[in-house]
Amino acid sequence: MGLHQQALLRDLQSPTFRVGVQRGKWRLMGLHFPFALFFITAAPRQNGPAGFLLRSECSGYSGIAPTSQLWHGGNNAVLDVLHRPRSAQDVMVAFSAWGQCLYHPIDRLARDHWPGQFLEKQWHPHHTITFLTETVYDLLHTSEYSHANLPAEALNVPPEFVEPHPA
Amino acid sequence: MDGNHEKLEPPDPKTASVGSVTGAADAQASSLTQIVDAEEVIEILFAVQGHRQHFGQRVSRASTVMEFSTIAAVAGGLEGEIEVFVEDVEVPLDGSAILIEQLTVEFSPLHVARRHTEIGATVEYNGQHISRKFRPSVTIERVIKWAIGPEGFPNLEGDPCDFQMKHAGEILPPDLHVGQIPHPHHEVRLDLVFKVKPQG
Repeated sequence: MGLHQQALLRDLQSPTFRVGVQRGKWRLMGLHFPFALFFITAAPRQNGPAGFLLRSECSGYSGIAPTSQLWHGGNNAVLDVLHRPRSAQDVMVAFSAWGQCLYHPIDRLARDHWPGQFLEKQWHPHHTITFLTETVYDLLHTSEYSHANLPAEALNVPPEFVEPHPA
Repeated sequence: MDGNHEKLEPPDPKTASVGSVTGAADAQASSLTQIVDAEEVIEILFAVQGHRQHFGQRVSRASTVMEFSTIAAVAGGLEGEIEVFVEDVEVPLDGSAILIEQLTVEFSPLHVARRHTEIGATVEYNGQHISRKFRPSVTIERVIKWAIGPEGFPNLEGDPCDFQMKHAGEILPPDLHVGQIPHPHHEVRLDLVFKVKPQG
């Protein structure tokens, strides 16, 4: 097992991450390094699911920022835009179809789109995976989040995150 | 009343079944109950004054609050007399009480702090500031509710989830305890801000 995977495992087992699990904010559904699959709880909405799956690519952890996407577990593919969290008008900006990542400064692929801005939202090597799960949880608990049309099978856990695999 | 109990091992991805999240959650909850019921030793997750990260310590189910506080103080490097708080409760637990009988149904981490600690919080918003003292177990969410409530800034309304508190430029999670923020001389300065959404 490499150092980056060891570091991620350490942080996934940390009391701080587990406090979030016990609060019902998020849960690790599977780890197939460099990919981790999380369930992130969403704020209750009349037309909304209990939460979403988030697949995060964590190579280089924690020196390099993870890059993440909402995931359709049943299809084992990126969640279609039609099923992503929406504001009253449109899909939420952070979950838009801008690229294969979160459109948010925390994401490795998107962070350069706000030069000199939102420094407090960016990933730094001293952060742990809880910074990511906390950020996405927070996005799903703003009043901007209105609803989502998420199929039940989207919350299935893909086999690669369940079956034993080489560490 | 054992919501603060934490299973002794983190969620194991290999034991999660293919299926819905609800199913996996049920399995995990069942596992948690079995572990708690079967073992005399449980793990308590808690925060310690002055530490951002949380701690986990195994204690006997028969442990008193006083016995737990001794263990927790060592883990967190606290010296002197110690108090243990339930989250957002400003009165410390009775040291002679059995710890697990004091835990809340809904999980929240305990807070361990030096005796009689109060933290003076000054909150700034739009050039104005308000202050009051909090016990270290109080959450940032509760501080936000106070700041936008009747005792807080005048003419400031809104949903607490649309505000956030910053300390030294860092966004604070709403369930962080005030005592977990660095507070030299038992004082802390916070900035109340609207959540800003990065746009394209």
